[in-house]
Amino acid sequence: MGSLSNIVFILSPQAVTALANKGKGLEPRLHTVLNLVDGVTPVVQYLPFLKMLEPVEEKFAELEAMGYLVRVGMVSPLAVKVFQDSVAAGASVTSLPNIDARTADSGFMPLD
Amino acid sequence: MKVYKRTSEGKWAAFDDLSPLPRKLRILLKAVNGKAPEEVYIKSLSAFGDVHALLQSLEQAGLIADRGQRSSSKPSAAMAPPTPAQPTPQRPNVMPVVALPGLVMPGLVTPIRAAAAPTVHTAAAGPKPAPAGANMFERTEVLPNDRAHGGRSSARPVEWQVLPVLTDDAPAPQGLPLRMPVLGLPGDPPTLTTEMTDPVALAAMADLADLADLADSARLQTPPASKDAFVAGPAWGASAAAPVGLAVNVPAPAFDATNPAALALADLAALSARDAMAELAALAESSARAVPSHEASPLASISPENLLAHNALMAAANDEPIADAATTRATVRHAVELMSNFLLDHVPRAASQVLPEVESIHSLEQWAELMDGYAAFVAPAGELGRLHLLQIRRMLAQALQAADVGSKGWYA
Repeated sequence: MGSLSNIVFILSPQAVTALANKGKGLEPRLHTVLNLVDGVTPVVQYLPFLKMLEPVEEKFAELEAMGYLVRVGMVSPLAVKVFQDSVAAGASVTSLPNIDARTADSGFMPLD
Repeated sequence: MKVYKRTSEGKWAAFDDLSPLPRKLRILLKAVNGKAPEEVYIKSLSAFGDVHALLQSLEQAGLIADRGQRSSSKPSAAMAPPTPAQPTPQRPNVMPVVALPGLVMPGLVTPIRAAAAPTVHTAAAGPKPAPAGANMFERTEVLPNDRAHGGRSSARPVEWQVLPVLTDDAPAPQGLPLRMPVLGLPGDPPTLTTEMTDPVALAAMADLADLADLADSARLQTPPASKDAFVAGPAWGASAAAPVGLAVNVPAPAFDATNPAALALADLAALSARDAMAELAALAESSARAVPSHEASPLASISPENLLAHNALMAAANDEPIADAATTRATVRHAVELMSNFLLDHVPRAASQVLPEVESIHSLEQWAELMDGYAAFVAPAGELGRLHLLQIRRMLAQALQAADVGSKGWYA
């Protein structure tokens, strides 16, 4: 399985039901990550802000495998690289680019 | 017990549209108010999942910081033997009560006609005679702010507040010094205060006084249910006959959202209004027991359209509309923050459902569309909710009037 960094997820109906039941039957950390999915933010953009929930990318993969998350599209690899480089350089949050699907810079491409 | 506050980066990340923070984390970040301990968030925002881990993550990202332990020092201080000379506690000059003409609320502030010319204390120049027409105001009841700011009890001496009063025949000069009381500790020297000469501050205060007038008029139409429900005395009549205040006499200048002082003062005004409303709500709740609920608050029937008309009547002839996108955006953002805070404070169960919707408001049109649904969610908060709605609707009406944008939203 390749990297999920540039993937944008959306909640499946199953996930909506699970969240309505306050994540009953779901591991708390998975529930937390699931609750943060908004349908516009690529996985890479969660990583700097969820240090205490690491490994975050694996949790996304697990939730997708469980049928809670559905891929809705992906942002451009270039946007992801710019974002990752900024994080690696220790840039403050005010200098990090916003590459969510609503922005033109993200190069967002919806999936069929 | 950790009490988080937003850092400067956190403030930016919570409210700026360019922020890379994921949307739902922004909601959590907005909920951090610098007052509530972490446990409150963990309990009331359980729908977020592991709130503890999320807050720690935000802390690691530098968006929030622990203010330090607030309450742990109190027991040890209480057990310590008294020292003969306690140094004056270092604390910020909080200004929880703003007594202004037009803001004379029954039971809260009582105007007293001074026989001799009252004295105004000035931090720099010391006592000096008050201007002609000045009234003296005395707090007659303990406000909830007393406990909110420092947790001191009602046994503290209450400071006298001397305020100039404007009348119809005495137009307000620009730069009128407005005195704000600072709650003091026993033995504190008379602490004062900032002279507010900024016209923006005057406008903010005018809004506050105006809001209190509306609430006050609602009270006047509701007969007191019992002797205990309201504080009797001259305050009742005095508030009805209060001289026309700043709302009429001071033309409201444009609110400059890029001016930090203006933003801070607007926040201060909102805080004071909220406190005042909380007190009014508590009083109204006690009086509403004896009157049918549909008569208890005429505020509920005030629509944005009526408020718009009210604003038009109140506006001075030479008022100019304020219409730039930055101001509108700041107003929308401020309203979103107010609504988010209210939801989290008063209807936390519904907060997780409504907050994403509230947080998604980016234009006046969205805001107006959401108001009906929002009102339904706020309804369980009772009188306080109705007063909050009044404030939000009033902000909306003012923003619509100021922006006069028709159907143009600023968010693409």
